[in-house]
Amino acid sequence: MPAIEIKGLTKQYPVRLKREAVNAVDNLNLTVEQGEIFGFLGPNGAGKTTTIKTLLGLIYPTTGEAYVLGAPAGDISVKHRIAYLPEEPYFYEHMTAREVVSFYAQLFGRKRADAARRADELLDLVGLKADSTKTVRQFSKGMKQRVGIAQSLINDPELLFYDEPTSGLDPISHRDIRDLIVHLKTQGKTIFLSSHQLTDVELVCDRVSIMDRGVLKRMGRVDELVSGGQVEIVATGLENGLREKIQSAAQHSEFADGRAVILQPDDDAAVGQIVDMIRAGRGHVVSITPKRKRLEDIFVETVTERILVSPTGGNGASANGNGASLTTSESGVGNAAASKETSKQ
Amino acid sequence: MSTTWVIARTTVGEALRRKILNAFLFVGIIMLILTFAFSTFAPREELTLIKGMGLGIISLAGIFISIILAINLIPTEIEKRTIYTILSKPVRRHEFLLGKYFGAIGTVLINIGLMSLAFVIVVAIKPNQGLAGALPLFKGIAMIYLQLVLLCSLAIFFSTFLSPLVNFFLTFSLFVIGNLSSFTQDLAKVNHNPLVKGFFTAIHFLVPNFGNFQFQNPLINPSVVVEREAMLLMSNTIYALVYAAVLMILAILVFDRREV
Repeated sequence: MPAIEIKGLTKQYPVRLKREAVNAVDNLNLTVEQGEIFGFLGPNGAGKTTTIKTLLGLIYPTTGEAYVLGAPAGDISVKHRIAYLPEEPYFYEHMTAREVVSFYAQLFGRKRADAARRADELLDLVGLKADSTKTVRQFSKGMKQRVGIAQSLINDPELLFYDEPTSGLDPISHRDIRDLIVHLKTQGKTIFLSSHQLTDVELVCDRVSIMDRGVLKRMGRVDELVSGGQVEIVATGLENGLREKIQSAAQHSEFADGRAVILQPDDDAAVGQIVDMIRAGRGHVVSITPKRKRLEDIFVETVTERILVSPTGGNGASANGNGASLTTSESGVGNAAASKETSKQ
Repeated sequence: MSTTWVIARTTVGEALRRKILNAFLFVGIIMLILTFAFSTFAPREELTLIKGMGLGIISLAGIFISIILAINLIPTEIEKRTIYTILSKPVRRHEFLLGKYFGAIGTVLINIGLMSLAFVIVVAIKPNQGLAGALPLFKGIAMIYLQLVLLCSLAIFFSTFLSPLVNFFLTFSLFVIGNLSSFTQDLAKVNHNPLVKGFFTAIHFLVPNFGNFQFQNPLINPSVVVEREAMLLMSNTIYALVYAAVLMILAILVFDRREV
């Protein structure tokens, strides 16, 4: 049983004073397996929070279905097994950190004393033991975020929805929360992580998806997405005839000061072809270096692709699904090639 | 029920820290104490005046506290996004809504209780009154509280789909119309135009009859005797509770489908 299963989910919002609707999420299909950390990426307005709110039952889909731990989204029995940390969590500010976490613990049916005990344990875990009797009003953003993390762990959840958990935090808090996410994974938890911190996502996530204007643009394993990059071949001693041959065969090549820098797709045959040509032409291969892509490159490619191709070029969700009409692929490999071509134009 | 209770308790804790509500409470108590200064009148008139003003002050402060509190409870939770973390826990929407409602009427009870305490002390220390003379006032205070329970239900029902500003004017208008219930009934009787007659009849039956709870007269004027007083108090109590329950059921039905 997958931890999350979304089938053809569309969420529309009516536009005021107009007869049309905006697709905040457009025909989304997604599966998250148990035990994985799934990165849910996208620029602002991509439909990430709308999707999370739908999965939590806070809003309802226009069409499509969403299942969480095998039950329809919003099912009350499943809420005993999940947790949610919203972006910039707000709490009752007159309460102390201990009272806040204890309040949430009581919502799981814990008695007052038991809830207070659990609150102490969790505040200790997130490093707020010394500040547990201070009111939340006195807390910095990072401290509030730690309270949010604490409240998300009350029920020892199987599945956690984290929406921008490290947003706006100082480096220490940032690292602590990232480490905590990794620690939760080692405990077998499933984490649905929405974040703009692409370095973190690349470090901790098993798979990622990239949303843009409500449409799922790309999805796949992080290692697969960031591979399939390019290989840089540096060579010397190339004669003019050989240079012309290489220029026509290589994906990209530059020649300067008797030195050639050639870029080929990360593919044995493609690299081998160039190396063979150099050797046959009595050139000298200085180095062959794989140029690994970063998740940030993939993300930028995916999102800027829309800006380059979109007839409107605007931001925001698509009206009636007409705006974001670019191809949607679950493999990501086919799209990667397509987006490269687009970015070259 | 325990979840509802936890939310209600938290709502009371938060509401008691709201400065605007405390300002109404503070002004109410100060005005109640100031009624003590009416000693220039004859003792009988003085007591009539103090009792009349006291009940009026408690009612007026209670109305503002109830409306301002109830119209903001749900929208504030949505605006501040505290509702996200609560509803992502095993909390049913009706438990959340009822928790907020019980929190609201609990807060109103505490506020009314504090003002009543000041009022009863003011009356009790008057010559020939004592605690025994002040105790009957609790019948009037209880009726005011029931009126406010009904008012909170109305405001919370509207808060599930209206903005606080619109809710304020609508709830307040219905409170005024509901206090003129006998007047709308008379208008329905004397009018021969079926449309107008239907309109006033609909208002009379649909708008809560807040005028039912005005029980000040027999408490202020000892000459006024209410026949079957216990029956009247009982029927008013049942009326308030049933009407509040209907409003809360409607509120739950609306809130259950509301997107937050």
